[in-house]
Amino acid sequence: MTVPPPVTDRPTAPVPADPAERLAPGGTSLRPRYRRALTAGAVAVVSLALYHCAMVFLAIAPPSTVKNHAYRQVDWWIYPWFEQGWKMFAPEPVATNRAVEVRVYGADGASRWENLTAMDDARIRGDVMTSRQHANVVRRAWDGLSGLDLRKGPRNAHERIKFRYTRNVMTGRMEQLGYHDFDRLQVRVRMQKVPPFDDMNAVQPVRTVVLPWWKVRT
Amino acid sequence: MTVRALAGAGRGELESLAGRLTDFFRLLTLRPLALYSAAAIRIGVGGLFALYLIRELPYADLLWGPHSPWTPQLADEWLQLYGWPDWVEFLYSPLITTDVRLFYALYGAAVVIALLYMVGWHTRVTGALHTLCVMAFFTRSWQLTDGGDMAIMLITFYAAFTASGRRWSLDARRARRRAETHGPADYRLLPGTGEQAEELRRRAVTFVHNAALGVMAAQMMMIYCAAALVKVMGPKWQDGTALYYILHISWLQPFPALSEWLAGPGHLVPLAVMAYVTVFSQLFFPLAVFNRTVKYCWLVVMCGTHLGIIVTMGVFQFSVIMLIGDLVFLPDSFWRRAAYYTRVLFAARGERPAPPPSGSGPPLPVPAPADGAAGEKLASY
Repeated sequence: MTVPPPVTDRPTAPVPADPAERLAPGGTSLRPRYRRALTAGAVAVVSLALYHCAMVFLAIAPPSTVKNHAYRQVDWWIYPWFEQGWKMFAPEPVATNRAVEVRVYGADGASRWENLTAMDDARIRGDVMTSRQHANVVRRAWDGLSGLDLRKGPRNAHERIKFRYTRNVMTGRMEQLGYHDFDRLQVRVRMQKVPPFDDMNAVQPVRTVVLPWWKVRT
Repeated sequence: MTVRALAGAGRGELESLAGRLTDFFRLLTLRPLALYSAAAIRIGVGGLFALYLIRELPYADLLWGPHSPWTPQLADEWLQLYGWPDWVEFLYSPLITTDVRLFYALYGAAVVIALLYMVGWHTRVTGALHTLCVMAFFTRSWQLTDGGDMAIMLITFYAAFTASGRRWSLDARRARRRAETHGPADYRLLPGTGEQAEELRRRAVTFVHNAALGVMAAQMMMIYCAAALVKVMGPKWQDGTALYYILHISWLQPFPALSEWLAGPGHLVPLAVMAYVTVFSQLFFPLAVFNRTVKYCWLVVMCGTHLGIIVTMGVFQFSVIMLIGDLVFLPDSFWRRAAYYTRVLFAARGERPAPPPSGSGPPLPVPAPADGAAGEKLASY
């Protein structure tokens, strides 16, 4: 029968005593009571760590029988502290340029379309640490509407908040551009696919999605 | 007879395995791993968040403040939909305020806390406060967030449980000075506790530190592996044209001329190679870190791709926080060796700095003979 060797250190060059080590375990032998407490604590910590890793794994994993079974449990554990979502540019990389354009309707009638995306992109140029204000706000506000019924409007409380948020974003931007006293606002998005790699110079058609006029509370 | 012999032989193996496992866990209570990396992660996490907030200062009010399109009222209604208990809501809602002055006061406090955490001033306290700050910004305007914010939140949370103040911090400097003037003091966090309780506390802290590093490492592996597995499913990653398309996306072009040149004619082969390197380096990352040689090669590749993403696509926060997270895989021996090579590089002519101690860390503490039990073995830990 092999007896496990006790933990010993390989011979090393002498390490100068580091005062910062004052918090390291000093090597005092623990009495059985404390040793049991340490073991129990270590088991608890390891269990918690493993449980957390399992929850993170399930949160990342695609729908499965296990996940369907533990759906609520996973959500409860993960949100909002440990949110996961690592599908950056995958499975399909973004291959469409979207331009969000807005116009307002006031006393002078309808304004011209303002291309908010082009303005944001202009601010991004030459800046590797882009502001959330230019990189995310308008883009994510539009993304937030995906899956929603853009013609009929919100169907539940979550969607109502998303619509209100998007309207606030667009209203705020138009006010920054000097438009005031308008009571309606319209959003359209012009989408153009990146030309395929084997025909780089092909001109892709522009598809436009026009949303209905939204009322703006002023 | 043969079965009994097999069982007898196997018992030895099993007992040896169990013994090695016990020793491993005992080691984890005695030796904090990767203290330099933990400190580097603390500096990175605090510094990155302070930089982030300072950079966003011109737009702070519009992003998280009372004048955000995600109005305090919307944020509040959104929180209500989750139906969390009051104290949880309180934790997530400090920034939900209509008072501009209060908002900027909190904003300034968050910057100060991040900087104090970075320099390691009362690290445990500032670490916990910093984590709450990051959370408050994350939940105040969740629709601004992207992968970078999520990763910042995760790494910050795990880092708060590590003993990140032991190296490269004001705490460590203060301890060193105190030791120089007063000699090695009997340092007790809770005055009046017995030696046994103090030792128990130290070992518990060490174990939690090691566990937090382990969870952080597992998180990094899962991020990389998940990102790669989803990419593998996409036809454009399979045929190696994914980067061509990404480089043509307007909001990912800090330098359009560079993007155009990279995605230009004649560069499809290098772009395909880059795409495959990206996918495979991420996919096999969880395996690569278990081998010392392969690990360093892998980390160099990951570093390269992250830096490339910053320059070509302007994805700053995400790349930097992943670089910081990768540090968790660097042991203390790496930092000692790096410091040694730096000293050699800058040493005066003819001078030769002492080589770093070999081995994976400082020697384990030698057990002091406990009262009455002289000559007790380390196995009694």
